[in-house]
Amino acid sequence: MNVQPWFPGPLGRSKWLTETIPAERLAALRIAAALAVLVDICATYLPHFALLFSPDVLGGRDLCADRFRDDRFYWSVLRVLPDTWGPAALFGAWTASAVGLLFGWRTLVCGLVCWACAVSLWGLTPLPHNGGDRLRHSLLLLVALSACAEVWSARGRGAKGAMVPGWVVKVLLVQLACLYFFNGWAKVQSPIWRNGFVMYWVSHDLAWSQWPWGAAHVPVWALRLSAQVVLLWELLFPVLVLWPRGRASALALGALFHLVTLVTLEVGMFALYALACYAAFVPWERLRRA
Amino acid sequence: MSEPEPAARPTFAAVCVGLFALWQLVYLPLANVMDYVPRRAAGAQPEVFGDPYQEYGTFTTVEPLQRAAERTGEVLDFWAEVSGQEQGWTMFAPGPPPFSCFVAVEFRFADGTRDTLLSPYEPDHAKPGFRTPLIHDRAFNFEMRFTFDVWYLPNDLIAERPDLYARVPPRAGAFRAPIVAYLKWRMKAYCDRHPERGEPTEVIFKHRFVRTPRPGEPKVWGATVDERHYARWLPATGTYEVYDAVRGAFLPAGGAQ
Repeated sequence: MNVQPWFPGPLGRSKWLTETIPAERLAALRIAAALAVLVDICATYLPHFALLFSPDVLGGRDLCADRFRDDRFYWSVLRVLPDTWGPAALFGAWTASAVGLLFGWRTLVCGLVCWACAVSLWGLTPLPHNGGDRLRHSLLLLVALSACAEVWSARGRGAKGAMVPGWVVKVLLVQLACLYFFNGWAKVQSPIWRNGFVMYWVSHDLAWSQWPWGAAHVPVWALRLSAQVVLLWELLFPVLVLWPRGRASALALGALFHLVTLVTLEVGMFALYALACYAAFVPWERLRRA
Repeated sequence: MSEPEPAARPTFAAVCVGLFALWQLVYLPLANVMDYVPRRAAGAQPEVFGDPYQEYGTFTTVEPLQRAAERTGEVLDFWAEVSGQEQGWTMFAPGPPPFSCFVAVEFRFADGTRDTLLSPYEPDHAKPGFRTPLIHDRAFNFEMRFTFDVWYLPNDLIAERPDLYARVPPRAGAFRAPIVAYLKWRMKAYCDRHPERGEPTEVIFKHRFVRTPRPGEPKVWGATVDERHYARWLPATGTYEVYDAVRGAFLPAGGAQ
């Protein structure tokens, strides 16, 4: 969907809002988002499909019926599909649309279907989900409405030097800045985050740490330091991204943070969806010069 | 270079995309700030499946200002719920307590015997192994959601802060459907493994608080393990009760609200 958005009045003249970016960046965002969805489906949902979506076990349309009361706006196509085949059909559509996105085929339709399937799962029951899934929905909505298929897509390799509207990257940057800053803000209120001991406790927590025995061999000072670096990075992220060198450092540290938490803590797909967002900030266009 | 030409007259699609982009740029920061603006709760409470990040109460005695903030919050809530973009980010804040919290299920039989089935995610305390990333996450999240309300409420604070523990039974009551589904699943797993025991008369959902070694202590988890009931389900009648830690008794789920 290669549309240069219209912005009212002076906003239409804002370079920040209207500048174009190399098409490779949004193509990479599309591919990373699609791969993350496919990993999500295959690695996190399918191993527990019968458990989580069968009405005889932990599934069914009425498990969290309170979520669908009249004064709420949560929705899910699984509320209208039968419990018997609805979840399987939804996962079929979700997989197909993610593959469509991966190859850049009808990205508006595939992106919206992919987003609708993801929101339907989360809307039906928040119990198996976490913050990473909320990030997933922002990411998929942005990919669907972006000019993400100009290169590296079913249409072919695309025109050399193609540029596309860059508003998606700005919205993503604001989402990431909000996510990190408000995380940091919640953490800085806590004494154990300020003194860094939080990383000792979380890495030794038998439930949330994926390898507490391994963490037991890391010096306490290193754990404390890592907590304080994370806290500073989260709080300063909105400032750091204002200029190119700061942005590169903030994103590099962020990528390291997400990779480490993916392996050490039970954060699920949060790490991979966040890393998928980062794909839009990598200068992939340099590949064509090479 | 093939840059898209700025349209002289904006198309419908260009207007829609532009308005969407602007709305997202406003919505994302505002929804995060709004979580910190106390609002009066609307609708039936407790709302266990709503936005857990919203602060409740009032922030001003100036009614029009309070009401304006609440109307703004309702608009943001609408978009959050429709688009699946709820904000509110507090990962590992304020931080874990000095113990790990797990769920477990206790089965009581007609002959007076009892047995406990631990969570599949509670590892060997002596040498906890490596849990593969991603694979277990969805089922893990499902279970751990039931620990959030008691995460900072170990048994030794009941006498000191009964007000905090009084909030737990209504929440357990509101979780009735998923907890009964969970208990049925665990009971089936137990009965498949122990067919000779028959069906239990009581199935009790409980929390286990496994002590974490302090910095400098030998790395021994579970030097103490405290348990506390949360809810009880009677398979024969379908009765569901919630545990009041302050009174030390089970109460009818409806009566706890």
